[in-house]
Amino acid sequence: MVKKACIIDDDKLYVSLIKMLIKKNELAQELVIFENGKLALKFFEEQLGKQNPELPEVVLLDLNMPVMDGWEFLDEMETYAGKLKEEGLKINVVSSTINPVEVAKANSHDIVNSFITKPINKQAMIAAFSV
Amino acid sequence: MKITPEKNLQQKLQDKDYFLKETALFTATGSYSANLETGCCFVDDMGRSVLSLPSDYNVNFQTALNLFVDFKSIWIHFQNCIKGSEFVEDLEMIDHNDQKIWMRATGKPLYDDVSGRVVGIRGVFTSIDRYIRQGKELAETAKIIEIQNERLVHFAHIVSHNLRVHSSNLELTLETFNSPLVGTDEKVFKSYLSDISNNLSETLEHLNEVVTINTHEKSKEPVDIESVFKSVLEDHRSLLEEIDVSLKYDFSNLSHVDYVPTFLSSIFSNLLSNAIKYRDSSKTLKINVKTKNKRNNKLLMFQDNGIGIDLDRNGAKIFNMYKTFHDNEDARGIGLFLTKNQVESLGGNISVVSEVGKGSLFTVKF
Repeated sequence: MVKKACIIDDDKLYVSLIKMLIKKNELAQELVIFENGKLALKFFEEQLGKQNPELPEVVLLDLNMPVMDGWEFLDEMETYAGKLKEEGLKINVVSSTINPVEVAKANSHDIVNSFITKPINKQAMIAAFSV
Repeated sequence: MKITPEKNLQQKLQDKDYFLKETALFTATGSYSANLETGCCFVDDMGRSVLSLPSDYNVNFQTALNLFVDFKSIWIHFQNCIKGSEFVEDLEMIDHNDQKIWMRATGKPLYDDVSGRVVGIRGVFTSIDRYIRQGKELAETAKIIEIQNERLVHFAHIVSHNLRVHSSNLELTLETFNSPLVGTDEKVFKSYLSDISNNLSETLEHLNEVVTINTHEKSKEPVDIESVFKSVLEDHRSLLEEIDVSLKYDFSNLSHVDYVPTFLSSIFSNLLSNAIKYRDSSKTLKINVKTKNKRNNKLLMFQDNGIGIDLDRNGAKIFNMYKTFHDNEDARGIGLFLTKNQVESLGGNISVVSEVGKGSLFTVKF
């Protein structure tokens, strides 16, 4: 079981469903949840500034969000790419988009582990959480 | 020598002069020449007719240049012709009635048999105005179609994305509650289904609004801008009374516009409620609304001193659906998207300049 996982998504319903799925399938011990990229970025930057950052091992990132969307979040996080790899962080983009341009764009990000199309099913969840 | 009638007929049927005149008439092609030794210029009857020049109109080197929109470039062509090079050009000319006409014109030097010097310029010109105009109209139509197509693709993505959100939540709900429901699970399950159903209905309503804007017969009528604005202010009266606001408006430069009244009302309403929603609560909200009529541009400018938008970051997306840039509970991200659709469906556009901490200026081109 993953120690810590992170969900960045503004869809409250989706978040509570994912929470239930994670709990039911015992995928993670601890969950941190942010409703937009800006709040998540603040958390990551704080943690990365610490001596022993307590980073999540798995991130499920939505693309369409208010204030700071998933793309902007990825762009900002790219600056820490080396450190994130060292920490073994896996960012999974989870989105409703089926636009191939967006899928390719997400996959082209160095720090993106995989692109998962919503709805995320149990198999995809287990795969994303198998660190 | 006896000329037989048959041969005479055959000569008539092959008469070059006849066919030359006929060709000139049929293609509306005029001829001209310039004598470089005497300065005498000649334009034939067909040429005068194409340019609506009276038969007594005196064409010389000076007056000839007045017949061209870009007389500098034709001057260079004639200079080059004197040096021995021919030209075939599409040019815009001005006829005697001050109408601009696109012409295809040629110019060739005439050499003196003895000295070999260029002693004259000769050429023909024919109106291609109809084709140039048709081409321009076609290009304009193509541009409109391209813009409409872009909006359609954008809309298709929106529809697909926004509907998928709900179908995916529905699937996820079923997956999460796939075992027999016990205890409070049933209550949670039902509340989720009800949430999804409500969200779906709301999305469909939004999509419906957009479709309505783009497909319904739009009847424009002369609209009194100030009276529409005042009625929108009235709708927002209770909100405006609650806050510290100074509001100025001036529609004297353009008091009426041919528009769909409900669209204008909705545009004002969206801009006003945005200005209120995103005001800087540390200072008096200043709203300045005015119209402008500049050449062919009828403009509406809506300025506020609110918190502003970081356009470097959000510029391209501000008019997109479900885009909100500030932590604000009421933000739905639908207003500016609908406004843009309304404005564009009537052939106009909307733009914004903004600075964080200073405010925003929205400009609607009717």
